[in-house]
Amino acid sequence: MTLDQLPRGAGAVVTALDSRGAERRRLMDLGLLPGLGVRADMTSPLGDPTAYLVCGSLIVLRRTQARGVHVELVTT
Amino acid sequence: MSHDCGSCALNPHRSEVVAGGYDFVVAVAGNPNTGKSTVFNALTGLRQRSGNWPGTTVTRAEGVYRHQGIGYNVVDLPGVYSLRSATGEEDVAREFLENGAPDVTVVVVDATRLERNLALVLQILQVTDRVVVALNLIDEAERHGITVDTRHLARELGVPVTATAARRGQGIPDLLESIDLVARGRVAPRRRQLRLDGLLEDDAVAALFAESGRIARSSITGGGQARLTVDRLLDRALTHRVWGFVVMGLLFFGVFWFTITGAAVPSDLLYRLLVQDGHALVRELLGGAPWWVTGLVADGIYLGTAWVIAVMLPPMAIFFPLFTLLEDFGYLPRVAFNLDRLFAAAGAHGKQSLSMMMGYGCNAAGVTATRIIDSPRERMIAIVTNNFSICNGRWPTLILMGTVFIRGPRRGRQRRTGRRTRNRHHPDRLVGPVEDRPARCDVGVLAGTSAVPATAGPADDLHQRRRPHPEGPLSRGRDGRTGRRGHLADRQRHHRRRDHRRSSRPRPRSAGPRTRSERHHPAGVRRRDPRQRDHHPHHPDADVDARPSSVRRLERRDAGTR
Repeated sequence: MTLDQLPRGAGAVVTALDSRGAERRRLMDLGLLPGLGVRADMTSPLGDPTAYLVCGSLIVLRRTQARGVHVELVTT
Repeated sequence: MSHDCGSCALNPHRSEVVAGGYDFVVAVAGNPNTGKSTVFNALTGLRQRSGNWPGTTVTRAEGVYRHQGIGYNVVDLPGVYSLRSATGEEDVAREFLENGAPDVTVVVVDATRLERNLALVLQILQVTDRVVVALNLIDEAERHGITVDTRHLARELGVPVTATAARRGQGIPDLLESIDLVARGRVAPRRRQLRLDGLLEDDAVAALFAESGRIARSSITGGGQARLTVDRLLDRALTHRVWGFVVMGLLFFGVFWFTITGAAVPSDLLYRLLVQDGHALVRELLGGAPWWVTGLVADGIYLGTAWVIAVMLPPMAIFFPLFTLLEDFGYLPRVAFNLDRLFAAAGAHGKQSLSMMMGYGCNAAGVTATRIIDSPRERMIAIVTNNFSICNGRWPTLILMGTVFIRGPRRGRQRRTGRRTRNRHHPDRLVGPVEDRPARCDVGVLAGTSAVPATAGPADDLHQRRRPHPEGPLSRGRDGRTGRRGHLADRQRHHRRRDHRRSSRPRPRSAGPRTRSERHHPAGVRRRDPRQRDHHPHHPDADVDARPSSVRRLERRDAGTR
C-alpha cells in the first residue's frame, strides 16, 4: 500500500520511494527512508494534506506526495 | 542562585564588538527550526530575527563576540536537513561549511528530535571534525520527559556536546567554553568516520539514518510518547473540521480588531500632532523662505512623512507583535495545514496563507516571508499575489480611489462638506478636509479614522445639479438639433424618463407636483400619462394604433420583407 492509504493513527514502515529528484531527496532527508517507521497523525479539516509522524516530528504531505511512498502496515 | 551579571554570558555588553577583527570563525549550523538563530543571538548579543517556523534565516548573518580575550566571528547559517540537498538556501550552508572552512562549527540539535538531527551531525562530521554539538531545546525535552545522556552522546560522536536552552540562556557559558577549547585545539575531536564512500546515494542515507538512530536510542531515556497529550489535544482542536475554522476566524478577526481599534486613537493623536499642529509650525518656522522652499520642505517632505507616520506606524506597531505572538505559539503552521487544500486548488501552497496575512501588515514583509515556500513556482505565485493583501499603508489610498469611482452607500442628500478652499496653502488642500466628515467606509478606521480624504460627492449628485450646456453652441442633440435647443431637448427627455422610472408607484394627483417634469409640464398639458402603461407608445401591451406613425411604418416594412 502507499502512504496516502494509511488510516489515521496507524503505523507503518516505509518500503520504497517512488518520487524522484529534489522531492525524493527532501523526503529522505526528512526521514522517510526504507526501513524507518511512519505514523499517520492527523488530516487537514479539508481532507487533503495529512500530517505524518516521522522521526519524532510532524511532516505534512499532500496526497500526491504520499502516493509516492510505499509502506507496509505494522500491526501494534 | 547568584547572579553575576558582569561575567554572565547573556550580558550583551560582554560581547563588545571587536574592532580589530577576530581570531576564529564559528559557523552555526543545524536542522531548520532548532533555534540556531537563538543560539547565535545568545552568543553575540545581537538580535537576528528568529521565528518558530523553518526557514526564517535564509542568508547567513554574521556577528562578533569576545571570549577570554579572543575574538570570534559567528556566522549564522540557514537550516538544512542534509548537506546533499542542492536547493536554494541549503546551498548557502553547504558552501560555507565546505569551502568557508570555519574554525569551529556549532551544530545546533533539537533534543526532542535527536534521531533526525544526528543524521546532519554525522554528515557534517564527514566534512570537518572541529565540531561542537549544542543540544538545544533541552528544556523542551525535559517537558516531554526525555533525558539525554550528553556524555554518552559526546563519546559516540567524538566531539563536545553541550546541553543548552538558548531561549533562557541556559548552557551558553558551557557552549562558549567548548567553542573556545575546540578553536584553540585544546580538545582533539576524535573523528568518527562512517564509511559511506562507494555506496549509492540511497544506501548512504540509509546508513546515515541507521547510525543516527542507533546513537539516538542509546543516549535517550524516557519520552516513549513522541508527543505530549496536551499538544495532541490542542492540535486536534485547532485542525478540527469545525472548531479549527472557528478558532482561525476568531483569531484572524481578533488580530484585525485589535489593530484597527487600537491604532485609531494613537493614529488620531499623531495626525493632530504631526499633520495639523506640526505642519503649521513648520510653515511658521519657514516664514521668510521663498515659496518653493516652503512647498518642498513643509508641504512636500514634512507633510508626506508626517502623514505616513501617523497613518502607518500605529497599526504596524500593533499588528506585527500580535502576529509574532501567533507565530511563537506555533499556530501559523496549523493555519497553513488547514488551508492548504484551498490554496492547492489555485496552484499555490498553504504556507502562502502566512505570507498573505503578513501582507496585511506590510507587503514588503509579506513578500519576504514567501521564502518559507520551497517550490519556486508556488513561491512566485505567493510573491505576485501578495499584492492582493492590502497593507496598512494602502488602505487609505484605495478607499480614496474607491469613493471617487464607486458610489458609496446612499444617504439621501449628501452633505457637501468637502468644499475646496481657496487658500492653496491650507493643509486641507493637501490631504483633503478630513475633520468634519465621517469616514464613508468603516475600513478607513484601519488607517486611523481621519485618514480618508474627502472626495467629490457620489456620482448621483452630478445629475441632480442643473447641468450647464456642456460643449458650447455647436453640440448636437439626439434629435439632430444643434446648440442650446438640442441640449435642452436632451435634458428634458432625460428628466421625463427619469421621472417615469422613479414613479413606479402610482400616487394621487392631488398630492401635487413632485418631480421636476411634473412641475414644468402640469398634468393638463400632457398628452399621455407615462405612468399608465397602456398609453405608453412603446409598451408591448399598448394599442397598436396608438403607436407613433414611425413605429407603425417600421413594422409595416418588417412585415413586407418577411
